[in-house]
Amino acid sequence: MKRTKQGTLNLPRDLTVERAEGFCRDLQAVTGDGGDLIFFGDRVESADAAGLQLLVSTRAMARAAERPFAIRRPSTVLRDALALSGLGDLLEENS
Amino acid sequence: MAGDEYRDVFIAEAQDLTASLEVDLVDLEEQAHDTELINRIFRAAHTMKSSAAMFGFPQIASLTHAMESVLDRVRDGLLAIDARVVNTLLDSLDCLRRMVDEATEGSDSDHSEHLTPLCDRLQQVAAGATTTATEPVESAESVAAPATSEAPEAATPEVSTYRIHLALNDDIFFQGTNPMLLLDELATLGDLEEVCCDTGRVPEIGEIDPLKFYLAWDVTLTTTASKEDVEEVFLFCRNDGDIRVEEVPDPAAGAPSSDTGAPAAKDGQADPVRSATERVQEEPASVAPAPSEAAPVAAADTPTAPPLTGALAEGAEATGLEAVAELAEDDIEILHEFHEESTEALAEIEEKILALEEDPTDMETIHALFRTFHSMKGSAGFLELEVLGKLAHETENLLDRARNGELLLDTDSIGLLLTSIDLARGLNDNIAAFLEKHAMPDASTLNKLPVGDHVAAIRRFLAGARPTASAEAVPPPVEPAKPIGKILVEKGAAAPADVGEAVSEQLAGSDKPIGTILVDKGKVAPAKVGEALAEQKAQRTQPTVNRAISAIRVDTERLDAMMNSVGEIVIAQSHALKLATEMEGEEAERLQTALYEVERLSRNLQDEVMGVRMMPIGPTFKQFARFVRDSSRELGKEVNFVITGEETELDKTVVEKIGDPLKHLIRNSLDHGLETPEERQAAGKSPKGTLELRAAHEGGSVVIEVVDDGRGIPRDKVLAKAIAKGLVTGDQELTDEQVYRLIFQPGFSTAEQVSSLSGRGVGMDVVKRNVDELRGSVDVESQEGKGSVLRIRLPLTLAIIEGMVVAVSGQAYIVPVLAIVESIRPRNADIQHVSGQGEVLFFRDEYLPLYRLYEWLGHEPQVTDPEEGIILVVEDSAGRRALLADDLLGQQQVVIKNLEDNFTKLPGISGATILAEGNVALILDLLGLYDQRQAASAGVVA
Repeated sequence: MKRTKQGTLNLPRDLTVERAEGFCRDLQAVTGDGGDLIFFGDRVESADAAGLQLLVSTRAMARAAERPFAIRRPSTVLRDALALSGLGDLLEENS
Repeated sequence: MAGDEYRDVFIAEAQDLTASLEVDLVDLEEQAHDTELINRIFRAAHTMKSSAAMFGFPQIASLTHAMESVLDRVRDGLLAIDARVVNTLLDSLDCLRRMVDEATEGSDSDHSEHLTPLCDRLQQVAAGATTTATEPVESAESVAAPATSEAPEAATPEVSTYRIHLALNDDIFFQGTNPMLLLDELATLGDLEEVCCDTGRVPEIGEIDPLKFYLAWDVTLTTTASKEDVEEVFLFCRNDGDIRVEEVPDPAAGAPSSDTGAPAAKDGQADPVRSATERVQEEPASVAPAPSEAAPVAAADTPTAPPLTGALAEGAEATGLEAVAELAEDDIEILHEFHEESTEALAEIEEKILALEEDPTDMETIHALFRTFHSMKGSAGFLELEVLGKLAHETENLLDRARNGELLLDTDSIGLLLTSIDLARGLNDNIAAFLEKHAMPDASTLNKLPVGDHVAAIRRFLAGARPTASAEAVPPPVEPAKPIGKILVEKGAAAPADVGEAVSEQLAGSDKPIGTILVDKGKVAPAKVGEALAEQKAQRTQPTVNRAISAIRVDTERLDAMMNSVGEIVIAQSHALKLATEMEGEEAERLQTALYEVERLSRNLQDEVMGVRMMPIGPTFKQFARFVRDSSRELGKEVNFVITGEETELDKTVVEKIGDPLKHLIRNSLDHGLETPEERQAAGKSPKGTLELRAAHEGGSVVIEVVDDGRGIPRDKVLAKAIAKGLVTGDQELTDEQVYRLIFQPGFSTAEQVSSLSGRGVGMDVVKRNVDELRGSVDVESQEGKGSVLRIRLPLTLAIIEGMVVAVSGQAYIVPVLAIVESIRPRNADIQHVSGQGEVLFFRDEYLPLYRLYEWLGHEPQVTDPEEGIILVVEDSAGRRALLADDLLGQQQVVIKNLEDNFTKLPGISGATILAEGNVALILDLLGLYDQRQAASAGVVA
């Protein structure tokens, strides 16, 4: 996961347990660079609890460090998964 | 999508369930009142739905969910079974099977085009709606339940709200569980009104282990599903965390009881979701102190339980027949069934409860008891037997706590359970008295039972129920030991009546163990009790190893590999024995003795492995029930389909391959054999014909028969057709058997009208060929006007055949014994050369074509004079013929090894085997060889 020129981050297509380790490493890398944590979720095609809890974890880190955190342009899959799991607040601006 | 392993488990289960659903749905038409059948169908659909959602097959889950809705209403007596219901369910099943088949093949198409209208139809059926314009026109006839064919008005199903706490272990991903799918499945049951995710355990991103699970949920679900249905969502993970389902009391049912520790209502309603922390803090309060007679009547889990009134009031005496007089005539019939079932169930469960005293942790027994009272409650509710229903309900509550690990059954609780049984039996006896008189009996003759007191006692007990010890304190599971009384009876040391008396004494309050009571009474010697105790102790120390698992699924490839290895062992052993017999001396004799023992053991092993591959023909037979049903309707015929010998076993491969030929035969009987009801009545028969599928072992073979009582095969018509087609000449004198066998000739059909089922002149020859390929035979018996029997004879297995070893130009070949009619040493006088037709052998008054195997197999001849060789007369679907070989070397069972795995398929060769000498012999496929020969000499009439 690399930052775009605008500094945003694109969430990967697969936010499931099969890719959780790689996704976790990516998140650890981007949280370490000190930039804003603004993710675009329009590419997400599959998501499960393993992927969502990594986003929750990132938000927790962002809150603790008082860094901006947001998920924008969520795909239907991501939006539905967050709604189903009661994590819809992750989509709130600067949540 | 779940991993392959889980997917395979789901598919195997789904295949079984669709097969059983088909059989049961067809039966449902005839047995519309069979509650066990309806429940079985419901359970199958429900299980499939749960598993499909769990393993990532959403389309299967949504279809089975819609089916389940229909079945739920049937089960609740809100929807009558008729042709429309059954047809819609069968159509759904067809779609379901297609999806399962696709899943089996690994493909995953989008079925929404079919699914949406099908689910709409199911929804309409569930709602009791009339046929819509978009729905295929179905027969409106009521099939089996005329008395209830009018669907009752659609009643609004009872809606319940559940609080679900879902905190799974952090290693749940490694168990193959996808927590989101659990939520997804809950959503299919109703409305997820609130989903509260507890993220408190999630570490920061630098600390997190991405393969551990940290979330937990508190969910509020509003649904028409029962608590059991909701709990079933967690069937596969119920031991993998803290999962609790609690029904939220309906605020309209009564004010919350302040003495139960229930949370304060918010705006008059119970707080829908509480955090896990709050719940933990509250829990100690929900476990009240020790039960006290003075404690208020309120169960901890039923804070809004309605007060007991009327016949159920404390101090009241009930007969259980309070509303029976108002039952309709149809319901009286159901009451009869209910009474019979209850009598049987009560007899069974008493024994189970006594067993629980010995092992109060036996979950299997607790579940069985729960199911019994649950069923009793359901039926009692349907029949408006309020007293019995309430008794069963409270007893069920007690058992529910036990099965959820919230209550450890002890003498007190078991005493309550036994009292429940006594009371239920008393109520049941009253029902019997009512049924006997078919009117309300004299009140003085009825049992008057303190059910209200007992229900209140259970509630009081539950309010102060002792929780089970913590998980850490629970000892490792041990095999439940037999009760001491049972051991003493089994050993002949005590009489059953004496043990029964001792148990009664114990239940009446004695704190002495059974053994002591028996010794005190002088019924058993102390030493015998000592022995029994030692035996019991030994049983208790044996750890439980998946005792619920009595069968496992094994991939057939593994069985094939095992069969192959065993075959090789047998061959290697034969070779070793042959070498040993060539040796001399004392040591050689000892070696031979040892090898004979190895031979015996390896043959036993071979039999065992073959036995593992055997499976009953029943499921294959049963799958035709649907086919017969649909086909007979299409043809306007009435057919009684009968199956006998369904337990007959044969090799799995044979079972799998016999389906198609059997279907042809059944189709033929339905189409040509059985007459229409009018034709049958005109012939003095009952309008309903019978089609029977039979299976039985006969020697080393299995015989399968398709029997009908139809019009039989018209001998003259068959003969005339055969003459017209040039298959026989008019001057040939043929036996009945020979004439009927003509129907297996390619292109032969006497049907005057081609139907959608058969009569196109194809089929019976294909049957013959398919059966030949299975190394079987098929023949016909028929009596005009009476019916026909189409008989297939099959080998038990395809892995081993009885083979005749023949020599051809110095090479050994195997000819299947089943194909050999006779082997003879011919006289040259019996062999003639017919111009243009080659050699023929005069054999038992007929001329058979004679072929020389060395020519067919391309060998340099060693024996050319038939008088010096041997002739095998063989028979298969191509007819009889004579084959010349050099010599017969012997007959033996041979293990077939196919050539395709390591070499290539050869026409005319069906496989190879290794002989005792260690040399390889090819197994001849006589029909294939013949076809190849015919093709090679095309234009030449052999």
